[in-house]
Amino acid sequence: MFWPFLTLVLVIVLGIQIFANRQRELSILGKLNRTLKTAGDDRTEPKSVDSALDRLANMVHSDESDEMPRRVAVAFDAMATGAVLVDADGVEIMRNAKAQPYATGRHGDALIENVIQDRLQDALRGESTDEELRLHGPPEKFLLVVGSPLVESGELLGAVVLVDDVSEQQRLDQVRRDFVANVSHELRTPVGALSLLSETLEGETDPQIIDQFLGRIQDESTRLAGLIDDLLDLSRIEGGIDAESVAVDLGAVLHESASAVRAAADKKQITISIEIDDALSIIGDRSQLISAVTNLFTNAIKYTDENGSVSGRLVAHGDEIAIVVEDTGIGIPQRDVQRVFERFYRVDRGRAASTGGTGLGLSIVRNVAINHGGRVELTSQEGVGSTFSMILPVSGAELTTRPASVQLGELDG
Amino acid sequence: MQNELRGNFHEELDAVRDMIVTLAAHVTEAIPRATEALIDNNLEMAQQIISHDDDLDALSLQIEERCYALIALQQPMAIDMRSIVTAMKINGDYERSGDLAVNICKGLRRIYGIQLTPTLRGLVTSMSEEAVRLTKVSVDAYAEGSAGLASALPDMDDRLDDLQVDFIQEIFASHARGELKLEETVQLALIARFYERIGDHAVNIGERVMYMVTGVTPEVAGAAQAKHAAEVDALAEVAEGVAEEEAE
Repeated sequence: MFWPFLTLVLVIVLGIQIFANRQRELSILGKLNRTLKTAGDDRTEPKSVDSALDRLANMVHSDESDEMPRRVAVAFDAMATGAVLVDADGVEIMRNAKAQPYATGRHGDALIENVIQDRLQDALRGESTDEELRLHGPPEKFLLVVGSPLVESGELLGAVVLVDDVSEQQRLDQVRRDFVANVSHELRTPVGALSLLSETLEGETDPQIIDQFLGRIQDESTRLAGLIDDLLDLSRIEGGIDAESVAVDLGAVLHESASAVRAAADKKQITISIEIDDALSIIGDRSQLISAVTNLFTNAIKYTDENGSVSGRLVAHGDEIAIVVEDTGIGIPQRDVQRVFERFYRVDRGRAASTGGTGLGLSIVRNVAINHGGRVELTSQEGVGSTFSMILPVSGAELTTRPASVQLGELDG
Repeated sequence: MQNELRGNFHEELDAVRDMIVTLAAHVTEAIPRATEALIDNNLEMAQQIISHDDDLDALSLQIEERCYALIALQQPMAIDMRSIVTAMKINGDYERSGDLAVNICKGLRRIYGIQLTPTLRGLVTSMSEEAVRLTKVSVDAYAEGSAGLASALPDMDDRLDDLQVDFIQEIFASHARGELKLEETVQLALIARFYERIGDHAVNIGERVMYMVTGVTPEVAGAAQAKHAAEVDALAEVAEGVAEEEAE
């Protein structure tokens, strides 16, 4: 984080210095030239020097003196970091394209400009300061605003403020932190329970307690096996292993997936309805699609209260078909909408124990959609319900085979 | 000399406008933060918002003083005068909206530990989003001097009013089901009222912007309409009397 800023500050200082030096050279050349011209009126000899200096002055003026600041300005504008440069009196010399909207901006931009001005004031007093700014959005943004004085040989030339959008970095950091915390939680919970139960069973003679504990060991083993199965499924889907490309009737996929979850729905008196107007097919992998849609239905039933409803339908639009699963469940908070497709991500970890599952279902859904050249979309409102759409191209896609060790940020963003 | 003075005056007016835009930006950030604190039971965030309000008050005071100075030194007229009067009025509205965000945080302190149901969380999030939207449109209307944007605000506010009604119904239903205590129900009803008031301030700002642009406030227009209607009624009565006399 420190080095890019330092480099940038050096570039800016260099730019200012080059610009100042050129101006000084030009001024000296101009003075010298005028002096020689006046002298040259009386003498003939120095005229060659006079014309040489003329040529030199023209050359410097037309090429380097114009080009150099222009290059600095263009380089300034090309930067992904917002930069504002002021002279020692606080008068703005340069503001690059990235920082331009802040000057006249409203809402979040007005707050960024406020911080820029504060940092400039500090920098003009000779202090280097930085401030992290979080803007609620949407979209939520994290910015790092750094102000530095520009000093040469003890003389304050001005100040520079750099505004860096670190939102993506923050998001990835958060994803990594949560991933580690969530995966350890998911793995440690059943393993910890198994260890504790077996330890307690040792020396236990009461057959009733033994039966009860054995039942719980069975439950925890099933949970662990489910987690491993899902991990293997996810790995297989991510790697595109054994994927086939055949014509798949999406109506049949919806019906088959709904049948697989009907028992769970009946237990909570949740009605499942399927709406299919036309026979719609795509080229793809049937088992992957069934796995994804079953996960969508399982998820919908899990988070819908008793007597609620879950519906599945197909919507054709242009070259795409959407498999839509809608529920009247508890909904997902807006800040979690983009994150629920991450591996092991839980909206409410406290609730996870009662709802069960491995935290991998929606990650599988997204990977299946990506494998088919499609995407997933989610709209949700807490207390109203959620609508998951798996949007797939009609023509299908070459089922992608991706390396197993795909970057975390690439898949889980 | 005269032109230079007017130039300075307009620079000063622009500076006041920029300060109001900044004040409004602070408010539009404070509202969703207060909502986040409420939903997450985040006392630390609530305290930050409460403490930050002092900065907003200071900024509001600066705006007010600058407006007084402009009136005293420049003796503005017509649209210039209306711009300053509008700035002073809406400065108060934004400052009050900031206070209402603080009130939401103080409400959280009184019901700390409460777990809102998904339905209540959804409704409070929607109210917060609407309040932010209204505040943003109000400042856009002011900064652009757009009577069109300003006139859209009352209709937009209806949605927030409806959400408040839904929220109140839901909390009383929750109370009846025994999910919320009476004190929690009352505090949540007050919190809903705070969001609704933020919407009302945005509508007030819209009316002031319309005054700034057109020179007529909706109240004045309404009063004029009422006066006109009364005159029409009086004329109709006279005409009726004349007709009756003629008939006799």
